[in-house]
Amino acid sequence: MRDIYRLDKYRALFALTMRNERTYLLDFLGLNVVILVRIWIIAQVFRAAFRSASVETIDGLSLSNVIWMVGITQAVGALIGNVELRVSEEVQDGSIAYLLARPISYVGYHYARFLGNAAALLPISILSSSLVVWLLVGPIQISMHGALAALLVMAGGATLHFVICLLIGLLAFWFEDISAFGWIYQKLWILFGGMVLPLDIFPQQIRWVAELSPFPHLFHAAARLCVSFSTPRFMQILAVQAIWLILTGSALFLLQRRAASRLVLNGG
Amino acid sequence: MGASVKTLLTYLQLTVFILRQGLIAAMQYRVSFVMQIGGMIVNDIFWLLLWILYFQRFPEVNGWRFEDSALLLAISCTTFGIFMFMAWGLLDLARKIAQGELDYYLSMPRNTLWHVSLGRLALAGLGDLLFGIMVFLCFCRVTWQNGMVFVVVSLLAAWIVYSFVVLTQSICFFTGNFERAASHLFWTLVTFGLYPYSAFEGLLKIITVTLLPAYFIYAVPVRLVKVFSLRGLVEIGVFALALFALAVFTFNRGLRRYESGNSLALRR
Repeated sequence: MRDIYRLDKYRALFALTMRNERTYLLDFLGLNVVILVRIWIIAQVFRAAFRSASVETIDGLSLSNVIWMVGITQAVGALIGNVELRVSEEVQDGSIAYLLARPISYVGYHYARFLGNAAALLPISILSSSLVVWLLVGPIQISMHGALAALLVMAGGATLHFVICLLIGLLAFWFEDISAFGWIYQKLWILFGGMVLPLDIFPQQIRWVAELSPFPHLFHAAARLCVSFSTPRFMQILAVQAIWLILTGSALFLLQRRAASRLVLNGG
Repeated sequence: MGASVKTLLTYLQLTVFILRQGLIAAMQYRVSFVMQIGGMIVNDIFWLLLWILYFQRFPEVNGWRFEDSALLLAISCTTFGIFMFMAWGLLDLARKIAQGELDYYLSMPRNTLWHVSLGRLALAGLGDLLFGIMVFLCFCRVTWQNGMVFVVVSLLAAWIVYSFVVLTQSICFFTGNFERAASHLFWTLVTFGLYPYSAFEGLLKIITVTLLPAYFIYAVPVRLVKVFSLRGLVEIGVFALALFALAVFTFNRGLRRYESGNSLALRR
């Protein structure tokens, strides 16, 4: 039992996934182009909107701030791995039984792979998106504090995203098809997670509700800190992320136990 | 001429039969059936909400208002709903070509392209289709005339999407590996249908009339439903026919280069 806590096997999984992702670099670059086109489209939509409204800033955000925020959020959010589909496949084809029998934590196995995937792809995605945004709207000043805080918040947001995806994937024990849950989660995070509209331009009441939800704290929070860093906001984001991680982590623990009790092994 | 009409009618009857059987089979899993259609409708509602929030802040973007975005959403959902429900199997075409899995379809007496297209129907497409119609009825000024134009242009746009997918997936016959690239091109085309067309300018606008037929799938149909013109309808009709001819020509030329995978597989 104690064997599952040995870190070296998770490190090996992490390294293996990274190497695997780099092997298919051309595929990834193709996907990256789609994201860059999307950032280009969003930049044109906001440029036209600012021009039509004849304004320089909206709620203190300039066009450049908005595009940088959306660009960074897209670079991370659109590329981060979706674990739920893999988990639901494992549940449906029964391969989860083989994984559970191994001396490795099921959650740890997926988390190591998730991090390996992110570590291989995100640096390229963030760099290329930043270059495109820079070409579209020019540079932006990012403080050292802001960049470091954004990295920390990004790690927290990615972990929160991972836990929510795993929760959705495990629903496959009760539902034949979990894709609808995945779509709805994805759209909630597109709407409230700053993938198209920064939260700052939402009406006050909706913004207040959205701020309490986990969605803006997935990837948008990091982009926001990059563009305008403030210590109270940083602390607030960390606190909300911690609360959501505790809540979703507890739900995952309970759901995993309930799911394991539903697992039927037929041998073979 | 008589024989051609008879063949066309036979294919139409067979298409309706296959779709009906697919629907009946899917309805056996009631929860999954309802979740796929309902899930897609909820998923689409979030896009509508996003544009409601956006246009509250920016009431007009280069003359484009919320009603235009609602109409765009209605047309794109209806178009892609029709495509998803009737020809989702096409998105696997490049993979089937690369792995030599077309043998099964080639051994059948019916047209190969028609058969591959109907190989897989996506129920979620029905959700898209229903949502598109609902948005049109609820958010657009509906008259008998523009209702009919809406139906005709949605069908023509779905035909263009169909031809575009056949063309891009068939490139795999010549390059050997184009699966991911074809998939990325498709999803980029979908992306263009989510944003106000009036915002596009420069190179991005050129792309929508050359590399990706977004202009004919989104901009022309929206314009025609708002203000009908026979010239516009002819424009989109001629483009749809030309693209279809090019797609079928490419597919048939490619089929001559196809190499069997010699794999034995059981089809359920």
